[in-house]
Amino acid sequence: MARGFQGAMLKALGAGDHVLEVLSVEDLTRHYRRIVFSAPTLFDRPFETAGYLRLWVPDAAKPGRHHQRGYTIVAPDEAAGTITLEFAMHASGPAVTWAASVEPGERITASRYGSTKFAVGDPVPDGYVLIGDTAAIPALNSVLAVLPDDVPVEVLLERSHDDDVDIPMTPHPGMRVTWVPQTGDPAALADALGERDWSNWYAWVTAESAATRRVRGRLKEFGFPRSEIHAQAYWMRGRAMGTKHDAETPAVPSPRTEAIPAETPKPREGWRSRAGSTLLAPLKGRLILAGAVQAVVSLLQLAPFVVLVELCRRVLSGDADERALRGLGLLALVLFLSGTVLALLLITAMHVLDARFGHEVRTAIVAKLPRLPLGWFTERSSGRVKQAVADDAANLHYLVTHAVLDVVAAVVTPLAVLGYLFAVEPLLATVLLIPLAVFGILTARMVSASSAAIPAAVEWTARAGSEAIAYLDGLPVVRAYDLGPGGRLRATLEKHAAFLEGWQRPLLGRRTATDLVTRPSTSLLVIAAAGTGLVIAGVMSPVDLLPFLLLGVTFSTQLLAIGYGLGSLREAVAAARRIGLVLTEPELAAEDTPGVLPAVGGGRSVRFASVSFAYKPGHPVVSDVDIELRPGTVTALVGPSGAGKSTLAALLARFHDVTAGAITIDGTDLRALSTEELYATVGFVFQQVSVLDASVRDNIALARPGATDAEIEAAARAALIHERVERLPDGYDTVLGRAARLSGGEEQRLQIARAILADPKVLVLDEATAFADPESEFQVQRALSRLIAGRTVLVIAHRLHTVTDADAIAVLDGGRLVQYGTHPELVARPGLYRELWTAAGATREQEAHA
Amino acid sequence: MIRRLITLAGDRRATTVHLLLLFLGAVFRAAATLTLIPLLTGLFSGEPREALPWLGLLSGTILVGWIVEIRLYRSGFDIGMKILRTAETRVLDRLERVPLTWLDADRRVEARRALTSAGREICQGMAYLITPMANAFLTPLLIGAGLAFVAWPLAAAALLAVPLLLGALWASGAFSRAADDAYARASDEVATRIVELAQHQAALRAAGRAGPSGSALGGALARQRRAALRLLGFGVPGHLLFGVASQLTLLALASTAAALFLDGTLTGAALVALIVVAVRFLEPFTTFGDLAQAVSSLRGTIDRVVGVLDAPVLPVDDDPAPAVDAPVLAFDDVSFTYDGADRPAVDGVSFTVARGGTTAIVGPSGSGKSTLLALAARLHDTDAGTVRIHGRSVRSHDPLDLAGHYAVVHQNVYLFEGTLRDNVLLGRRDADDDALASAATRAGLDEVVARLPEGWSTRVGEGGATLSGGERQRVGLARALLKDAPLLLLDEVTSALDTGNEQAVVAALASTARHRATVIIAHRLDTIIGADQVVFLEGGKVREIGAPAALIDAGGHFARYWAQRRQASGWHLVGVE
Ligand SMILES: Cc1cc2nc3c(=O)[nH]c(=O)nc-3n(C[C@H](O)[C@H](O)[C@H](O)COP(=O)(O)OP(=O)(O)OC[C@H]3O[C@@H](n4cnc5c(N)ncnc54)[C@H](O)[C@@H]3O)c2cc1C
Repeated sequence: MARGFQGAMLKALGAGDHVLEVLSVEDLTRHYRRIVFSAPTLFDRPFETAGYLRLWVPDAAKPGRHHQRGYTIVAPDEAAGTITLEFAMHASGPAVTWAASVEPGERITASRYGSTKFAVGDPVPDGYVLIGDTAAIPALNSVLAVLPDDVPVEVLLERSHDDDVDIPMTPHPGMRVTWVPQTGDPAALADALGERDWSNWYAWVTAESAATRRVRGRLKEFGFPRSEIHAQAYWMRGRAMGTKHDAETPAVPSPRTEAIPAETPKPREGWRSRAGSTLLAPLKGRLILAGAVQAVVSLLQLAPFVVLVELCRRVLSGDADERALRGLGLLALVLFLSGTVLALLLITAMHVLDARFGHEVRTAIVAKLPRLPLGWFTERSSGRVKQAVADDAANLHYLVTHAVLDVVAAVVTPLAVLGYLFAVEPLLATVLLIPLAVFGILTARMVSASSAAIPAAVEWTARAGSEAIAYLDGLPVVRAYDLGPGGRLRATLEKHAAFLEGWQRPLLGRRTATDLVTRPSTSLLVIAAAGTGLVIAGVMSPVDLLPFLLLGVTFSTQLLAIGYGLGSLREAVAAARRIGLVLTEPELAAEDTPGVLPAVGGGRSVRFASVSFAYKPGHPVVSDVDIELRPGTVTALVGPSGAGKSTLAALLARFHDVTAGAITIDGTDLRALSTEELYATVGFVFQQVSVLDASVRDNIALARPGATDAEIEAAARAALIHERVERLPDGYDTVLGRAARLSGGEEQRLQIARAILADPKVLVLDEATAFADPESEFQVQRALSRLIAGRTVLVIAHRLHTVTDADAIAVLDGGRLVQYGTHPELVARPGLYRELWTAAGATREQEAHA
Repeated sequence: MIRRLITLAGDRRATTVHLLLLFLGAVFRAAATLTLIPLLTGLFSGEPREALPWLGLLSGTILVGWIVEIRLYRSGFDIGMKILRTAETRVLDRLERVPLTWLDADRRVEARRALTSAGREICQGMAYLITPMANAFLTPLLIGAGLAFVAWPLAAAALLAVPLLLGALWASGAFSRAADDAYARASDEVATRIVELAQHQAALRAAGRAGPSGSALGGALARQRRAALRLLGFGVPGHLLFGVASQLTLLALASTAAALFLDGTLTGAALVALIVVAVRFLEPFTTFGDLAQAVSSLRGTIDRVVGVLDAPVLPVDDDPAPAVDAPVLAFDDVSFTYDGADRPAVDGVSFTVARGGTTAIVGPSGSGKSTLLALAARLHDTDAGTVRIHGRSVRSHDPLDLAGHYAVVHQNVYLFEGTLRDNVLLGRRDADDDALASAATRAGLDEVVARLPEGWSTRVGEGGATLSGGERQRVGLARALLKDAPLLLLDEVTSALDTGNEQAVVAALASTARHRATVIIAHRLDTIIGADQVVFLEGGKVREIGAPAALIDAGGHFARYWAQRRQASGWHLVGVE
């Protein structure tokens, strides 16, 4: 098959051929065709998001010629061994010509090479803007499928035909699609992008070549960092993708229209991806200085060699007496000592700098935590804190104390050597570069050969890793179902090994060669051979060979070390970014002069006044809710799951701040209260219990460290946990977590005791707490009943019959308050409550019979 | 380390050849370096042409050295691949037979790494670590020995320097490690404290103690800072020691040579040649320094694999042929204590479950219910007493064969990343669509499948994360029903929120229960009352055993438990002083 140079290259680079057989052809619109292929061999490695094939389409005019064209893989079905490709049927071109006339049963070859490297960012960007044209729809659909549901997505598409808008797109709840007509003006897409606060968005651009370039330019104007843009041209106007056809058709300029409208430009918050450099900014000057000093140290460490050369020179020229030699020796010693002393000072300074900086970073994190909304502290966020203070902090420590110095040393030493050698004998120095050049070529070839498989390798590693975790976590299940030679993990590991071998073995020869050319012995051979030749030819004096033999032999190895240093530097910068991210999380609004609540005897009154809340702008979870909790009453929140019950309740405990409206306690806005005042007033009992690594006593007295033993015991008795505590090895002094573990129900009662002792006037409660541990729900329930007596209570109710005696029931649906009243009132009226009550009836019946 | 690698590779011939090649490689390197002496002497003699034969020799040695290296690479790759494949299989073989208690959280991490990355790391280590390290060690020694032919004081100085340099390297590594460890210790404390602060933020804020002041954190932060400064004591020598030692060695060698020159033993040309050789002699040591860290991590990797391969396994005993009509499951005076626990989790438990019967295990949390299920599946071995399936001790079954006797559904059903269908098919790989559909219906999974847009092809995500707890349990149940084993072990979901049509599932189970034995850790009242037999556990002991109705009538422990649970299920939220 004639595929020319590109084909040969691809083959050389290891992109194997696959044969695809057409199974069916279907037109989704008049200009958009879907073709299903049988392609069992493609499934030898995983598919990535928006991954594509390089089709070898036959040239209709010249039999035997093939053109390479990129097409996105759609809906790979491993079980059936089929994939789908979708063709935008533009005017002309080998690919569309082929697709236009293809019949089931026909075959076509394809290579798989190249990667989109698309992955949802961590943290997830604030939004995605996806830009392209009809040819990009398959890729955009693939991307849309993996985006999390709660991010906003702007899709900007250029349509070449009016019915392009009917092409099915992957649905996404946060998606807004804007179509602009294709006019031929390469700026059309860029112009359709309005200016607004795009901070922390991610852009995926796969359009026509010139259009892609324009869009990228515009995104840069908006402040998109390079790392947040994926831009790839999918085709080129007026040119076939591989070979030249005709000259560029002059574009028709169109008036500038902004289709994605500019929204009220908020002040730029700055991009999260720049958080790292911000964190490191105060160190920058000092790190540069340190680098400069290290450069001097590196030079001083080379100096003894120069002295040695001088010594040899004298010896050979015969004018070396003992005194001269001794003098040179002394000089070498002095140089060497001063280098060492300087290095010593430098390292000391870096350690001091590191200790101070590390301390500042940690203090900043600690100071940050209390200012974050409580809702932030999910398990995942705690993981981020852990990562920041453990691994990332260690990486920063390495960066400050070693990495900079190592990298500078790795760069300065070989460069200085090279300079010196060039000064001595430029010809030989040039020869010395030959192995390096060979190395460069070999490596480039090897990298391109092996990089085809890198995405697959990453996928394999991830897959083997997650299957191994599943295997170990699920070992009891594995033992029952998946033992022996047929096991899934075995098969995966076997395939993984085969993949590694198939990938690496062909590279072995080249790898060996790259390694051998940079060996010191190779340099030695080059220097000796070329040097001897030059000496014999009389071009060079034998003495000048010495610097080469002393310093030039290891020159290649040293130069390569730079790579390693840079790797760890990158790692450290990524660590700095993650720490910076935690430090730039948005904080709860803080009041300068916190309000104080007037003292009262009984419960307090709470008002939700037109309260709305959204985790992400545009996705309200609670909308415009008005509820009043009268002092000392129980108000239940009911509604189907997802109605916003838990979120509304969490707002009263200030896990998040309301986005609109206000919550007041006895007339004072929550946000105006100091944290201490707020939590002295509002307590909560949720299913998730925090048990601290501390004694039972300290755990109960958490909110009132000054409580007496009698008070603590009274609270424990009221919460029905006293007897259990007495049975612990050291009673109230038992440290929880290590020495003794409590069961779920016992932890709940510990939490209730804590709340009883803290005595908040307002209580937020999750009813599920009462049923969380079936084996001790009886005790938990009795303890709860004691806890709520006399307080203003807001309860999230999952089981209606538990709250039939509540003073008021607020029924939520889709984040809105739809009904409000007492149980008898609500069952008497038609409405959501009555529906829920009837639906729950069946369950209750059965339980009653049990 | 080399020895362990050889055992892992399991191919004595290949490894011997590899070691031989390693040695040969070093010989050629040393020879090349030593050839420099006559070559340079020749060049500096004033008649450079005399050097030409030596140049030929040098080229020859280096080129032959290359050939050796190329073979070395290939054999290293082969051995590495072999280790990769065999190590993974052997680790899996082992894991299928270890007692589950052995696999604690730490070992789990180790085992995971042994499964996924160890093979690759060893494979790479063969190429990039073992060869250079062996070379770095052998080449200087050979050069030193070779110097004896030229000038013995120089050879003596070089050979003396070898242990010195190695010592400096070792000390420098030890200092750096000590520094790293000290740093890690100091930071760990703060890190733990800060993470704790984050995890308990809600409780701490409610207690008005969310800030750094007042907690133990302030002190820990200050300690960390002081510790970071103290690192200087280790960090500085760690950083400088080896550099100083090698520069000093160079000075020593150069001055020895110079002294020999001054007293006329050496010609000027020889002196210069020797200085060059001295520098070359030092060069391999830096390799050591560069690779030290990688080598110690390779050692860790190998230890990890060997650690799993040496794990204890559940032995398989002989057991005489079973009685003909033995019950499906029998516990005979079984006791079991977890490592490090001060009291047994299961203490003298006896009961039997016959075909067609359903036994509900009931009791407060921590009473040993799950341990009973684990013992029936022989995830651990009993300390005393015997668990029998079909009259044969579980200890006498081969793990593969034992797995054929039971199906199990855990409270947290573990699902594998893959489709819903894959996960259910684990029950019986060759099941047809009808069998699959029927199992799904009986487990109440059919409506889940119908609801999901991709139906059976829905990917369940890691650990089944895309499904709810109740849905996961139905997948588990469908899998177990598909397997259709004579013994069904079931841990009922406790999550109070998953009521709904759970009853339907229970009913379906009961209707098909006739041809198998079912043991269920029961939380729901209707499951308990529907069982043929209740085993009421408390503190690992059987308190009562019998038909549920009879036990309720008897008015004992179970009856009290029953009454409380009944009362709790009708609870109303009202304040009671
Ligand atoms: C990674 C990647 C994935 C892709 N995925 C898909 C996919 O899933 N579906 C798909 O339809 N395309 C996809 N494309 C685009 C497709 O490869 C190009 O459109 C290709 O040029 C079509 O080849 P051709 O032989 O039909 O036309 P060519 O021979 O390349 O070009 C012939 C003429 O048609 C014009 N032309 C080419 N493409 C278009 C177009 N899309 N609209 C208008 N004029 C055009 C050219 O300017 C030229 O004048 C992808 C491209 C890449 C790089």
